[in-house]
Amino acid sequence: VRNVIVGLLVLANLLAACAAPAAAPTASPAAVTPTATSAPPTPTPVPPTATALLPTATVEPPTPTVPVPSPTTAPTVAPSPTPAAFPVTVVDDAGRKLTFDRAPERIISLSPGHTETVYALGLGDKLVAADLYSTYPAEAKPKAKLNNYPNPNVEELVALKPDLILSLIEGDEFLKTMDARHIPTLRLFPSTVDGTYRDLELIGQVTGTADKAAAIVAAMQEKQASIVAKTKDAPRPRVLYELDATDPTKPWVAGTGGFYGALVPMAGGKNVFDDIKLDASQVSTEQIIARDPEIVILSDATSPFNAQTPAMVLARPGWSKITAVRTKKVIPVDPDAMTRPGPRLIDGLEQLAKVIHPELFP
Amino acid sequence: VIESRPLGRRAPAEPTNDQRRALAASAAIRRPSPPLVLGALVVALGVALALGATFGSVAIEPRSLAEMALNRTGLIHVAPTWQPQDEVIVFDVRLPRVVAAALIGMALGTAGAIFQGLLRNPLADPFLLGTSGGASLGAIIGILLATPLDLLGFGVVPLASFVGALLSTGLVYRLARLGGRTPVVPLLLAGFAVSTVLNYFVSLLLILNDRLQLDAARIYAWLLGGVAVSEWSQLAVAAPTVVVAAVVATALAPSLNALALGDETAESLGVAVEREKAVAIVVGSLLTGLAVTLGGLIGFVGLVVPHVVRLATGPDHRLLLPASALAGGSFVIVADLLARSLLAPTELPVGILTAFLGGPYFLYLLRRSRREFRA
Repeated sequence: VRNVIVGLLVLANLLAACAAPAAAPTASPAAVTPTATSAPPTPTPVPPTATALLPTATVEPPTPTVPVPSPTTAPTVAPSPTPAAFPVTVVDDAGRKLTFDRAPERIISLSPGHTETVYALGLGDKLVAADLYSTYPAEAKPKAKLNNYPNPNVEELVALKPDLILSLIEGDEFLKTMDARHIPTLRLFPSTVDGTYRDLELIGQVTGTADKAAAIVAAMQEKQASIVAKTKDAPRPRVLYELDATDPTKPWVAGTGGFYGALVPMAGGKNVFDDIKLDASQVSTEQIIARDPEIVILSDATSPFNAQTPAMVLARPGWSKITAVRTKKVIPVDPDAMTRPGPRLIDGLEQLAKVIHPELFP
Repeated sequence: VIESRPLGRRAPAEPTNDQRRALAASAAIRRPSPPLVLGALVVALGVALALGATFGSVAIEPRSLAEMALNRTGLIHVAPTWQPQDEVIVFDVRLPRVVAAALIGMALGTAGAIFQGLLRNPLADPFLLGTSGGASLGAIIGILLATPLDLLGFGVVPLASFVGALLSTGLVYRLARLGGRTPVVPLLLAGFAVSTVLNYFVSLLLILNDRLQLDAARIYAWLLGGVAVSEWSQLAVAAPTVVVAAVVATALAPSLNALALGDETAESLGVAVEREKAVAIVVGSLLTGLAVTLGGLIGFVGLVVPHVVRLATGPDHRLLLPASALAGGSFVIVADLLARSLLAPTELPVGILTAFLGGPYFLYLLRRSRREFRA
């Protein structure tokens, strides 16, 4: 009985966590190999910058005049925040209104997607720490040290003296704690592609990189439109998007709620479980057989545990009559791009479209 | 009719006043005859099996089902009017699962009755002696091992939870044993403590292992129970084991009856108390471990079923044990049927259903029977 209670508590706690950004945190092979020598990782003890908000004991004499970014970056050019934009007031996904008087200098990201956004906006040198799963881009890895399970470590966060925390799923209690500490914290938890665009632009606004954010979003939208245009009139194969098979007799599959659920139809497929409005759900083998998918997409092929291979799926009892199994269309994908609300979301869409319509994307 | 003659192998000790009162109370309540109870429960299990095979998340015509079954007998051939995959659904997916649910329920019902009798504790359930913690930890270790091991259709996670359940019960038994005796209260307390510590060890692993965190919700859904049998080969192992263990358990019934009167009384009745206790714990844990292997930690079955059955059969374990097995089997089949069809295509962990169905019914009986006994 005790176990059930404890289990339920943790389950409730984690269902939300796993629902949307559930993908395995494994970096794609490309990310594992160190990329070009472009950006050396910033030294871990970041010298404190002189910001009015955070009076800190200065280790080295700060430049008294301009509150420019940390001296660890190339000393020549300071990325110029458009001063006219500040103060800027935004509303985050928790409905809280926050006003920023200047561009943040010490950013903490609590989710891999936000970390990717920060780097895409050219703010990598301002990122002081990120959660453990922030494995992309490679430069982020040394900063990926925050274990936020089951809750972020408030002391650790405060000690890092952030002036912006980007949160994905953290609860109201956490937001209250940070408000009480006067640490600006944005909960940005988009559940749709458009929501991702909105939040990307929002991060741009509060960091003084609105133009860059708008450019990224425009490029993503253009790519999305071209993919959708290609797949729009193509036949729509029945797709099963598998997320986890800890119990292979009832795998977790994508409904329509999460990103993958939204991306499958954009990529020209028909999600066989599009009647499930949740992000993910555990379904019966009976139902999978009856719905007879033509393509099985394995986003659990790179899972740290219970990773599934196409061969394992082909051998599952009762699956032999399924079209995708008969035609051996059981295809692993790297789920990171299509589950993280960030600048690579449309790359994920492209990956899916190539799997579902290889003939359209040679 | 409950026999009021003393149970045991030797001449009885003089019953205490409490025991006299209890016997008088049990004689005062009218109970159906044992063959009637068992017959009714066999029929109920048959009905549950039929329901479980007929209904599911995918609707298949009962007529097609009957025709498919006739074709399988090889005596008659009916031209199929159904989709070919319907046959796969019924015979390769649904039936093994229904049979597995029955086995889980039989195992948990029997184990619950054994432990409630052995521990003389109404709160006892099959997971009390450390099993829940051991099974959870075993499952997590199995997940961490992440080997594609496959033994007779069982993967590494159910196998590891089976081993974990047995090891932790063994540990509890060793810890509670002192000077050649295993009194009930230390057994209960050691079981609770070991289970709790192991459960928190699971939580610790979840915090320390960043990979496990991501899978945590699914791991807990697995632990909450779900009939996870996909192959007949799994049942070919599990079914005989459960049946043999249940028969052995029934053979223990006279000793359990004597133990219900207290260790000393049982001893004076000629029961080899420690040996019978050890055998009962081994059989009970084996049954529990099998249930965990087939379906995770399905709660409430082992607690509620023996209580409900006892209302109809009285406390005699010779009837209580087989009746609990049959009733447990029907209960889990029905709970699993609801778990897979209530929110179809979504599956619910069957442990949620057993608690939602069993809990309120149990509370209702509790209120009713209290009034009855008071009168």
